Amino acid sequence: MRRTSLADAALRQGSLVALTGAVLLLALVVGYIFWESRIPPSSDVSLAGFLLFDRWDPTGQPHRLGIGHAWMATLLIVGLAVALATPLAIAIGIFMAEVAPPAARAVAEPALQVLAGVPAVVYGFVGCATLVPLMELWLPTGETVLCAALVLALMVLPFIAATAAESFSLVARELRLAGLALGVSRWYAFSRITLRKAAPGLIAGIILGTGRGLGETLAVLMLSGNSPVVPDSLIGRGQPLTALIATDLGESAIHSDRYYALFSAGLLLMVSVIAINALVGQLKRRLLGAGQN
Amino acid sequence: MQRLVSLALPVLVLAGASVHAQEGSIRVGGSTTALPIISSCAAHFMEKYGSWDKADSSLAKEQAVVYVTGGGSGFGVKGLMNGTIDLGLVSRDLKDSEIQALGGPVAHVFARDAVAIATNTSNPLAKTKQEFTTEELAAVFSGQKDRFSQIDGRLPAKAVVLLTRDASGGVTEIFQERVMKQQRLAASRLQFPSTAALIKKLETNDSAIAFVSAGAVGGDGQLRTYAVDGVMPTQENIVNGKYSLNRPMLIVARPSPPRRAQLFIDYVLGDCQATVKEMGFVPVRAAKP
Repeated sequence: MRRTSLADAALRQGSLVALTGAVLLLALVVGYIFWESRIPPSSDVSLAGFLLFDRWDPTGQPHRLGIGHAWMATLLIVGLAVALATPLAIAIGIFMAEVAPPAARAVAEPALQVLAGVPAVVYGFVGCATLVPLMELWLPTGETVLCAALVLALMVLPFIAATAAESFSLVARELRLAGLALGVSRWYAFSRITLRKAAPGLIAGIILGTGRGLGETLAVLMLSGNSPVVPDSLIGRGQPLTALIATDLGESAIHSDRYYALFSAGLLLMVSVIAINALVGQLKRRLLGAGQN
Repeated sequence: MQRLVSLALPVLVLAGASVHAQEGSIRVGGSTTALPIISSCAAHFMEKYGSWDKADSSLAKEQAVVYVTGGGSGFGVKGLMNGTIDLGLVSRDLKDSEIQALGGPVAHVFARDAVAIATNTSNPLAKTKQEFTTEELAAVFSGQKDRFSQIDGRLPAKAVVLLTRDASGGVTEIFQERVMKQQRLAASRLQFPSTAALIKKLETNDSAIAFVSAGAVGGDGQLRTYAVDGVMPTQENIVNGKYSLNRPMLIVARPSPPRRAQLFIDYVLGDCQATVKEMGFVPVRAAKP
């Protein structure tokens, strides 16, 4: 008996240490990025120039350190990707929760998980090998905002679809059955009862997908052209924030203006992702609250 | 690969600092362009000799260790002055002030880095154009002439696609300095993380034009290079300096360097020249008869 309690205590202490370590590490990462950021990055760069108007040209004379082009590309690519993925993901969610026979579900669920687990570089490579040459039949370069968004849509799809399926199946059976018992059509019951009840969960899924898309680096770097230009159209090129940081950080001297600019770009990205996660947490709580009554 | 190297750098710098006092090691640092060559040379050097007495019997039997860090050409000179490093890597000519401050340093050119203007052989320019002037190149790469018809009136008004290495890759530095001068590279250029990725794109895209390390496109049958101001980027023209888009890569030591540093310099100028070529740079010693 005593040995068991000793093991229990060791496990409890060990878990506590691991948990504290993980939280401290996270705090360290967040703190470090805050510490190394300067907004604006140097005295000769204005805040508006840094965030909006200046172009990114750290090696030109004099240097320009604007990240406006990057967050615009990020917004455009992620926005388009999520807009493309959401209808499809909801359709998949409906199918899995309402329509699919167990056999089909047994295939579709693992398939979605695999889709979520494919490494980004594989998506990037497949995009480069298929979509880019295809687009080059019409365009000067296949690397475009649209190309990056299409592949990113495929990458965020499983996240949104899984959450959608989960929130549809969480809607209380009695509610639906009560609706159907009143003699309404299946579509009416779905659109007026299930969809409304599942809405917070759906939104959480969309936001989760957005967060995932914001952080994605390699595939969008390979497919957007990585051009430091404000994207002028869907078939224009761009360079999302993540790609900008990945491209330039290795070349910038520690504590140079360029280094501060890149860390500030990272801060912007991190704050957006944290805000999005907080929002997901809020919606999850509301969803669970709704599921109980 | 290069990105991996640059990410590993701070770690190496830290590791280097912590064994600062260790006897039997030499520290090399500076130009990030030269970094991959010298890192590879250092690895071969350590593998070949193992301990210093095997390289030169007058030295003690200590493990041969060569630390290589980046920091840029400026650091290659400054680090040498304040003794942080034993050998500096500098990818440009030394300034008079630097030579004076170092009291007449020993500087050896161990490679030349050249920038070739290249397209694939199906590019419209490949049929009509043999050479560019520096001014023309600046107009093309700054985006002022962004249609083929603007470069050559006989060609269609198709958009020109500019490919470059990312950020301040070695070639970008020379190109900015010698060709672009005060102008900026067009923002719409595609940036590639490695020379290999850039070349692959250049091979498949018929509208693309790039400036790229001359060695890397040398043996590629799908690509062609262009003369700049009338001079083709041949090995000979690069070594004798006629081709203007080139710069020396120097390994620099303080006057009368210690034996260990001298051994490594000799190795870089000797056996390591094969590595220089392998990495796409122009070996200087090997090119001379």
